[in-house]
Parts: sequence; structure tokens; C-alpha cells
Amino acid sequence: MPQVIAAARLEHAAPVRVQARKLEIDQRRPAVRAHDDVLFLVQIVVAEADAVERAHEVLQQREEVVGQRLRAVQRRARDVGAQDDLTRPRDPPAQVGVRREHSVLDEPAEPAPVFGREAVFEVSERRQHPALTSREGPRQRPEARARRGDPPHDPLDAEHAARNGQALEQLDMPERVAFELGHDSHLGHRARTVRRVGQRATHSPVGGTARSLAGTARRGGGPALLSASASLARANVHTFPSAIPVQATRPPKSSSAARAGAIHARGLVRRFGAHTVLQPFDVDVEPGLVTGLLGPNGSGKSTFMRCLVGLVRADAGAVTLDGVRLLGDGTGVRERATYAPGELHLYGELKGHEQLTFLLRGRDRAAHERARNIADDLGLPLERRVRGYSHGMKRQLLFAAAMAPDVRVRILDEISEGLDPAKRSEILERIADDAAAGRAVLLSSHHLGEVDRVCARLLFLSKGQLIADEAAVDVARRSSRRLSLVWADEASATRALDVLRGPLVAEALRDGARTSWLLAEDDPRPFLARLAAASELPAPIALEHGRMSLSDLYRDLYGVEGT
Amino acid sequence: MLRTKRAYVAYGLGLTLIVGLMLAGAIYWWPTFSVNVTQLKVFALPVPMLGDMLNQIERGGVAAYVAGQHYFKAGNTVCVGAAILFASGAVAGEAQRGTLEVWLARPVSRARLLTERYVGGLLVTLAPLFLTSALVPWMLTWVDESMGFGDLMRMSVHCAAMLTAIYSLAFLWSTASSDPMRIIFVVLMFFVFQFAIYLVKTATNYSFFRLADIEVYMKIVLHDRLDMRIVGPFVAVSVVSYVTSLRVFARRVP
Repeated sequence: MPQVIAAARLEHAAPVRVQARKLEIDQRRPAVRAHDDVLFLVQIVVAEADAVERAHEVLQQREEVVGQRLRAVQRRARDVGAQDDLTRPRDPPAQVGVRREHSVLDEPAEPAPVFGREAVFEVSERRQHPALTSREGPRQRPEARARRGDPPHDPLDAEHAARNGQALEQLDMPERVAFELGHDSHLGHRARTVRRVGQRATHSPVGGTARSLAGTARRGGGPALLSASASLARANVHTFPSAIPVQATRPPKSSSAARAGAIHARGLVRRFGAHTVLQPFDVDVEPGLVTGLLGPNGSGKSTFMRCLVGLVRADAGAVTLDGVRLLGDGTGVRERATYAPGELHLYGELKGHEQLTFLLRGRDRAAHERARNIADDLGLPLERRVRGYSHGMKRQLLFAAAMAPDVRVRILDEISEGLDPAKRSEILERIADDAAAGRAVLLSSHHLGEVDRVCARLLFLSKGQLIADEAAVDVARRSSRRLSLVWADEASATRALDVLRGPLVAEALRDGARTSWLLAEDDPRPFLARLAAASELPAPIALEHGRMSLSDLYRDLYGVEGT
Repeated sequence: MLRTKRAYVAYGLGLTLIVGLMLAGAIYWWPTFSVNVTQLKVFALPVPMLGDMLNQIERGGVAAYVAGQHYFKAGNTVCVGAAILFASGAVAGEAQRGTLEVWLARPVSRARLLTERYVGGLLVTLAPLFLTSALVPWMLTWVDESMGFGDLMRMSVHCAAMLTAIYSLAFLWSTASSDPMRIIFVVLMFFVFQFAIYLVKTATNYSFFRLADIEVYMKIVLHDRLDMRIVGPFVAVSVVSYVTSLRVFARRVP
């Protein structure tokens, strides 16, 4: 949290995204009440790799000892070999919207190579429960701390923010900053938090430099950096999906001529009775890119995809896929594309490998082999009957079948729906790689954050109409004016509306303890500075900037109700 | 229901076993039946149609008995039930369980998928009938009787034509529906009703089963040929139903 607030003081660039979240404490356990650890997760996307390098150097100047337990987790994770991903960075193709991540904080003996544009910091503070302490702790009265010369604890305290900001002032402003605030405990949420740290650590050596912030903050009663980690996009397991896909160039506008490996849809119309599900619009999906098809439930995404592969006959319009025109029942098109349906219904009586064989009927033997390999990589028990599979496992089975055939077009409907973050990242990563190999991938979702990390281009549907066709990076930029804060109670939220309202804010709304702000300008720093300086307000327990839900996007950017 | 080769084999063997056991039991009981047919007719007095059937069997001997037990009884009950069961789940079953989309999403034409499903279900329905019919001459040796294999095959073809027509109609409905249980219930109830009115002397001529009863089968045996006035319409209904199924299925939305 303090880094975010400090970020408001930077003058070079504006963050696009900020996020914070607070975990609950298991207050039933006396031991938990006695000692609370507070964890902050700081996720920063910077404009360029050099900025991450500078962040690395700056943060290394600060010292502290990382908690022994966390380091053990990190070392274990490192031992599993994920370090290879860090030491041998692979550049994604420029045309593919792949975000790269990287640790800015690393063991001093093994400085991590710096590349990519994202860093993840985890900031921790150990404090004693106020009920059991009289001299220290986060809830200690500010004047008492001031008498002892301690820095303020409140992350929103202006002085504290300034302290933390000094180090960061040497950096370019990150494009996005995300925070997670965890009131951790020895017995309760500690394990959860450490596991989450471990997930990151599986892809990056972390820890050493993190000591610095930890020590500084602990001495001052402020937050301490426990660890920092990051990962390459190929090994991206972080909690927050990015809203900032990297794209070297805007996706090319396609010609209307049919091209190999591309999808061209022209004026597709589909009616069910009197209800028109698809209104006529034109879409070109280019090879080498992941194109996202976004829209709320009932917007026509699945019908559009089904029309592309001939599962639903369009009442009007034409489709050309990989140079082949959709005719009849679309068998010719389906031979040149794979389609993973959004509806997750499989044959429970079949074993996993039998289901794969069923799904891959009409494909060559190599596709069957590849599907088994993918399924094995994903850890699917192919000898078990599908009825024993979880929702996510079934989804992964469909994914394996869709990714195995050597075709130039893949149409994936809600392929990451219902997966845990790690699997989702793995699958999205494979999709990005697949597109990088020159395939056209059309990926649908009704969750913006699920697909934007790999999509270079986003198509937005609403009520069967294509309402926007934008580069993903443009959508991310447009979302940078939104900021939301979650407060401990509604009274604080109401007070925040009064205190923070002003020329910096175009619109402010309160929904319970959450306040939503539409900033008057793209740069959130003035508002964050105002927030940091507002000592009369308590610290928000969650902060989110630069992230939009699909319904936000639809409502704010297109004036269409998205849900 | 019938989605994998394993299922086809299992259901086919199961139906063969049921029909075969019914047939074996009936043939084993033939000597007792032939001796006691006069007393049985007394029991059948309250149901005139039963009396008529017993008279036909008394006149036709073991051939009429086999026609009554195997083709009229097993064919018109168990096999009709199986045909309705297999046909109703062919497409509607996929739709009901939500697997229609993954079934269709593969690079295989719909016509081929539907034909495979149609032929598969039909084979599972008809193969047990022909298989058990082929066993009749051997079974009759248990009771020192005999019967021409040609007669049995002709009667089997007649019964198969009727089953195919019923199967095709149920299949057509299944192609357009997503509720196999409704198809099963409605079609089964219809044929139960048909069987019921068959046993009513004054209404028997309105029953569908008049097209496949002992009298019809005995005519086939007597004339050594199929009655094309009956088999022809069965085949026509089947073809029209199948072609219509293809057309309906071509536009079917998953």
C-alpha cells in the first residue's frame, strides 16, 4: 500500500492500474490474536524493461532479513527448476500480446536478469495485536510513535508515504500497480499467503532484496518487504490477471480477401424465432494473434463461434476460414479448425483417453498423440472415467483436444472458465504460444481479465452486435481512469466521498463500503496524492486502479449495459 | 444410451439374451401347450381374441406357435420397446445431456453421424431378432419338431420391417427433440394402447398390431413370400422418416 501512495508522488509517468486486497484474519485463535502479520503484495507493470532494472537497483538499497519460512518456500520452489525460465528468457513475438513479467527483487548472489515489464513485490509487516501490546503495533497511537521517533504506521499517512516514495522516485512510473494487503496469521491465512508466494516463487527466485524494505518498514512500524517475485509470461502464475497486454504493434487491419489461416466473417445473421441473436457485422481474425471475443452472457459470442464452424447455420452472411468457405454443415471448415465448446458436457462413462479419442475423431494419429501429451502435461488422469473429473479437469480435457490437431485456426469458447489461476495461466500461455506459431486463435470470455493478458485484439459483442473492435492495449488505456477503494465500513466510504471529491474526480459512487471513482484525467497520481494526504481518512482496505470489469467497460466506454 | 461400440455390443447381447430366453422357454413348453390347448381355450373364453389366436395355433401347429411366441409376442413387445428406447435417445439423449455440441463439433459430416447412429441403433434392435430366429430350428429339435429356415427368415424380415418403421418414427422425433423420456413415454403408451385394442374383438382391426399378428405370419408361411402390401408401407415409412431426419438434423442447433 505505501508504495502505491508513494507512487502518487512520482512525476514521470502515470500508473494505469492499482489493486489492493485485504485478507480476513482468523480471530478465533488466541495465537492469531496475539500476532498478526500483514502482507502487502505489490504488483507493478512498468513501461519498459529498463524501468524494472532501475526498480531492482533502488530496492536493493534497502535491507532486511526475509522470514525464514518464506525463504524456505522460495528455495524449494526454485529447486523445482522454474529458474530456467528466468535465466533463459524467451521473447514472445512482437505481434502477440504477451506480457512478460520479471522479478525486480532477487537473491543478491543470484541477480535475476531483468526483462519484461512487470514486477511483483510482497511486502510484509509483523505486528503484535493491540490487545497484547502497549508499545508497538500498527494500532499504536500516532502521537506515541511520533514521541519515539517512529515513522507512522498508517500506509496512507503522508509522511510514511513520502518515506517510501523516496526510493521509488528514482523510477519511471509504472504502468500498473497492484497491491494485495494480507492480514496474515501464524495459523490462519499465513499458509494461504505463503502458498501464494510459493506459486510465484516456482517461477522466480525471490527473496534477497526483499529484505531491505522489510527491515526498514519493521523498524518504523511500517510495512516490511518480505519477498518479491515475478515471472515470465510463460510461467505466469500470479493472482491478478493483467489488464495490460503488451503489443508491439496494433493488429493489422485485414483485407476482405480470404487468407490462409484467417477467419473472415461477413454479415452473419442468426435468428431464433423472432429473436435476432446475431446482427450483421464483419469480423476478420488474423493468424499469429489471439483475438478476444468478449461480451456478457447472452451477447451472442457462442452463437457467433458456432456459426463460424457450422454448428449453427447462419440465416445470412458468409464465413471463410483458412481459405475455405463455410458450406453445408461446415465439415470442410471444421477440418481446418478446432473448436472447443463453451458448454462443458462430456461422456461420463468414458475414460479420459477414450473421451480424447472421441473428441479427436477425424484427426490424424499425431493429433491423438499430442492430445495425450498435453493432457499429461496438465496432469489429467486419463485412465479415470470422466464422470470422476472435476469441472476444471473436464475443461482441460476439452482444451487438450482443441489444441492437439495441427490446424491453423482455433476457436475456443470460454476455455479458461472455471479453472484455478495457475491452470488458467498455463492454458493462456499455451494459447499465446500457439498463436505465436502463426495460428489464428479466437478466444471468447465474459471476463475481461481472463483473456486480455493474451489477446492482442478484443471484439466486444452486445446483444448480437459488434460494438467495438479494439487493440487490447487501447482498452487498457481507456480503463486507466477508473479507481475503486474499499473501506472498512460504510461510514468511512461516505466520508471518503466527501473528502476526496473535487476537480480531480469526474464521478464518484458508493456501493456499501466500496467507493468507485472516475478520474477526471488519465494520470491517477494527483488523486492518489490527495488520498495519501487525507489524514482524516482511515486506510482503505482495498484499492484497485486500472482494472475494469466487463460490465464497467460496457457501461462506461460504450454506454451499453453489459450484464 | 447407444454412444460407444461397447454400448452397442452390450445392449445387443442383452436384447439377444432376453428374446432368446423367451423363445427357448416357449419352445420348451410347446409339448405341454399342444396337449393342453383345448383346456387353454376354455380359459381364453372371456377374451375372444385370445381364443382366436389359440385356434390359429391349433390349426397352424408349431409354426403358428413360433410365430405367436417369437414374432407376435416378443417382437411386438420387447423388440418394439427396445426400438423405441434406442431411437429416442439417439439425438435427443445427446441434447438432453448436453453432449450434442461435442458430438457435432468434430470434422465429421452430420449426415454421416446421423446415419451411423441410425444404423447402429437399428442393428442393435434387429440383430437379436434374426439371431434368435436362426436358432429356432435347433431349439425345435429339443421337442422333436422342425420348421423351414426360409419361413423363419421371411417372418423375421416382416417383423424387422415393422420394427424399422417404428424405430424410424421414434428416431425422427428424437432428431428434433431434446427430451428422450417424453418420446419413450408417448410412443410406448401409444403401442401399449394399440396392443390393448388388438385384444378387443370389435376394435382389433384398428390396431397397428393387426399388421404383424399370427394370421399375417401364417400367410407368409403358407404363401412362401412376404406380403408386400404390408412390408412396402413399412419400408416407405422408414425411408421417409430417415430422410426427414437427415433434413431436420442438418439444421439442428446444438
